[in-house]
Amino acid sequence: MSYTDELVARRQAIVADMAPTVSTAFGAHAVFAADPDAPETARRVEEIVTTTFGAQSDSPFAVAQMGCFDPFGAMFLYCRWQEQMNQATRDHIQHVMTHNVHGRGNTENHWLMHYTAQLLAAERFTDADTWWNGQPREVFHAEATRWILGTIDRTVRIGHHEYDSTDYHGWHVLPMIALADHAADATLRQRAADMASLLIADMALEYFKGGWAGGHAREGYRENTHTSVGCSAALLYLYFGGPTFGPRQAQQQMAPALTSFYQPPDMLAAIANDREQPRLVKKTKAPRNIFRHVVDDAQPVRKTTYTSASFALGTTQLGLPGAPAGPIDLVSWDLTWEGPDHEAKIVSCHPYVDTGRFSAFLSELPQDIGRGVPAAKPFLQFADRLYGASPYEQMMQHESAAIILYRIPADDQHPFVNLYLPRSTTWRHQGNVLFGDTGTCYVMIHLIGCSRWDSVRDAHFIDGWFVRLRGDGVGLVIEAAERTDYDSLAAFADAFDSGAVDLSNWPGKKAGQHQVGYTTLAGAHLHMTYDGTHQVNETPIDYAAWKLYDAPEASAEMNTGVIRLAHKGEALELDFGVDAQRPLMPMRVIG
Amino acid sequence: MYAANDQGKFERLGAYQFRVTALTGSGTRVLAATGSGLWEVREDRWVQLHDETLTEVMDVIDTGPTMIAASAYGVAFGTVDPSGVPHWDWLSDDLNVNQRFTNAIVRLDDTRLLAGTEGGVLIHHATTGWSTTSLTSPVRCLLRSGDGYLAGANDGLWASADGQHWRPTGVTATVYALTANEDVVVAGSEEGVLVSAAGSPWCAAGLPGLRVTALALSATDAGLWYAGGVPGGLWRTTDHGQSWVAVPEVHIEVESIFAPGGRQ
Repeated sequence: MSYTDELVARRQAIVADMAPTVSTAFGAHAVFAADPDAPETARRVEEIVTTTFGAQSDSPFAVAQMGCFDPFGAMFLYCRWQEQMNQATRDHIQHVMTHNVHGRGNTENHWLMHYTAQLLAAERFTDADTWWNGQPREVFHAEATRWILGTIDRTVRIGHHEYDSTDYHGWHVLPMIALADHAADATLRQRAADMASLLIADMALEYFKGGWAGGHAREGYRENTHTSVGCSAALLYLYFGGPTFGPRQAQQQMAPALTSFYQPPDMLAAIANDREQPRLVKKTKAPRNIFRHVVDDAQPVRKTTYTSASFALGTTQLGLPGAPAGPIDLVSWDLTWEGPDHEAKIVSCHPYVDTGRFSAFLSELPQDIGRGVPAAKPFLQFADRLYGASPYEQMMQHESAAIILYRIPADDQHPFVNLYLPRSTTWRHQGNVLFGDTGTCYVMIHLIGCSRWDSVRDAHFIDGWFVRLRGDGVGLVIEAAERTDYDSLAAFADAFDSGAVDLSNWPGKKAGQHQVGYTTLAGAHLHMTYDGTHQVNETPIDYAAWKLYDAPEASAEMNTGVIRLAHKGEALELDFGVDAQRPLMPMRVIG
Repeated sequence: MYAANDQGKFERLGAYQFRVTALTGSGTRVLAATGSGLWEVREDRWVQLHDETLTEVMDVIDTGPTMIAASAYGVAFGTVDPSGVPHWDWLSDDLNVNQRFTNAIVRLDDTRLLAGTEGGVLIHHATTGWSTTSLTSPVRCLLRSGDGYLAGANDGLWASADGQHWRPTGVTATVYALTANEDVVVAGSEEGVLVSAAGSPWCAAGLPGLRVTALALSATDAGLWYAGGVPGGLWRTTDHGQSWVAVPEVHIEVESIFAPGGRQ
C-alpha cells in the first residue's frame, strides 16, 4: 500500500470516528468530509458555526473580542468548504471576521493563527474596505503577510521559536497547511507548504512509536508522563500511523488536516518509522524570549535526541541566561519507550518557583504576576511538577547516555529534584544505582545526592514513583540499552564497571570545578563540568558550531534556509530562498 | 476600558479586552497603550497604530504625527503614512535585556528622552544615543515635576534636577504611578497613595495596604482624584485623599486613568 493510500485510509477512519460527535468549526471539516453534499450537513455546520463562533456580547456594543483559535478555525473551514456551506454560514463568518474585535494573543502559535485567519479573510471579503481594526484592508493584509513570511524566514535560519511542542505544534502545522492550500499568493503557498513539511519533518525525526521523544518548548500541562501528548498526538498518528488509536489520535481540533489538499512527502513517514538503525538527531532552535530580570539575552536551544529500536533519549541545552528565567511548560529531557501512560517515561525536574519566572516573559507587574498567572493555572507552582525549566539544571548527552546535574541554592522554595520512575518497571537497587527492566529496554540510573522514594498520583496526570533528590549538588547519570543485548537484568547490571561514574570532583571545591565523569557501556568517556565544558573522550562538545539540523536524514547549516532530507536513496531539498544578510524579523511573543 | 458618563457612573467602553497600560490625550485624539499594541480610541472603534513589531506597550507619548512607545522590547518612534500604514523605528536594540524593557518615558527636551527601564533610568539623545544615569534600579513610572523629575522605582521614589543625577526622596515603598496638579504631587505606591504639596515631605493620602498603580487628578476640581489598584478597583476621593470611595462598576485591575484636561 502506498503512503497516499495509507494516509487516505487513516483519514477516512478518523473522519468516520469523529464526524458523529463534532461540535466545533475545526471538527466541522470532518462533518463535510463524511457527507459533503447532504442538505443536513450544511444545516448542522451552520448550527455549529453560528453557536460557537463570534457569540455576541451582552454589552451595548453587541460585539465580542475574539481569541485567535476560533477565527482561524472558521476561516479554514470557509476556505475549504465554502461551496458546501449554506449562505447563512458564509455570511456569519464574513460578518464576524470583518466586524468583531480580534486579539492576536501572546504566543507564537496565537499570532500565527491570528495572522493566517486575517490574511485569508482579507483575501476573500474584499468588499470590506476598512477592516475591523480601522485600517484599510490592504494594510492589514500586508502586515499579516510580513509576519507570516518573517516567521518562516526566522524558523528556517535560526530554528523554530516555539519548538517541537507536543501541545502546540499542531497550531503551527495547521496554519501552514491552510496557507498552502488557500493563500492567494503562489509564493506564499509554496513557502507555507514547505514549512508544513519542515514542521512535520521535525516530528518525524523524533517520532517514537506514537509519541514525540526528547525536549519540547512546551509540553502538555501535567501530561509529560503520558506517551502521547497534546494535539501533536493526532498529527503523529495521521501522518505516521501508530500503535494505538483513541481520542488523542482523533482530536476535533486537528480535523482540518484530515481534509486538506496538502499532504506531506512520503519520505517523512518512512523516516519516522525507520527503526533499523539507532538515530542521533541534533537540532538548533531559536532562543527563548526572556525580556527582563536578566542582563544577557538567551542563547540558542540545542537538542540531542537518540532513538533506537526500543527506546528514545533526548536532552536539551536550554541557553537560558540565569535565574529567574524558567519557561513554565518546557520539558528539557526524558527517556521513553513504548507503553501505556505513566509506564514508559523517565524524567526529572527541579520544580523551580519564583515570582520573577512569570514576569521574565510576561509584562504584567512583577510584584503582582506571581499571584496572577497561578490563579488560572495553579499546577505551574506544584512541588510535584515534572515540567517547567529550572535555571539550575544542566545536562549533556552522548548517544544513549546522559548526565543531568542540579546545583540548587539552599534557600530555593523547592530545594529538591523530582525524578519520575514508572511503577511497572522492574527496579533493582544497588547502593546509589538503579537498574530497570522496562519490558522493552534496560536502563541504568546512578543517583547523585541524597535520595528518598515517594509515590505520586496527580489525578490522571501523573501516577508513579518519585525519587526525590535533595541537597546542593544532585542529579543522575542515565544510560539505556536494548533488552536483546543482555540475557537478563542481572547481566545488564553486571556490565557496568563499579567505577563507571566518577564523582570525585562532585561537588567541586569552587565554581567551575564541579565535575562528573561517566564511562558508557560502549566505552565512551563523558566528562561534564557544571557551568563549564562538556566533553566526550576528552573532546569538548562545540555547541556554538551546532547546525540547524544534523542527522543522517536531515541536514542544514544555520542561516541558510536550505534543509536537505534524505532516506534510503530518496532526497528532498526544502529551499526557502532566504537572504542571509537580511535582518530577522523580531519574534515578540511567548513561545 | 471604562468611561464615566454624565452622571459619573462608569460604563464599559466597547468590546475591547486588551490590557490597557497607559492612556494619553493630545487634544485631538486619545491613544491607548495595551498589552496588544497601540490603538487610537475613537467613538465608533479603536484604530490600530501598531505593526507586527510593536506589542506589550507600557507607555506612550503622542506628539501629533509622531508617537513614542515604551515597550517590553524597548522604545520606538512611530508614524502612520497617508495610506494608513504604521512605521515603527526601534531605538533600544543594542541595549541589554533589562535596559530594553521600558516601563515609562518622558521628554527631557526636543532631543532627549528619559526612559524608565528595568535596568534603571536611561537618557536617549537624538544624535548620541543611549546613556545611563545614577538610578539603576527597576523604574515603574516617571514624571516631570516643576523644574525637575521624579522616578518611581522598586526601591522607592527618586528625584532629579536634570534626569542624570538622582537622589532618594525618603519614600522607600515601590512607586507605580505619579501625577501632579500645580504644586501638588501624588504618588501611587505599594502602601497606598502618597502626596507632597509645595515641596513638603511626602505623607500618606489614603488607601493604605492597596497597591496603587494608576492616578489621575481632576483639572477643574482640585480635591477630586482617582486611584486605580492591583489586584483591582477604581477609587475616588473628593477631599484630597482624606477619604476614598470605591467605584462599584470597576473591579478589574486598573493600570491607567485618563482625566481629560488633567495629567496622567
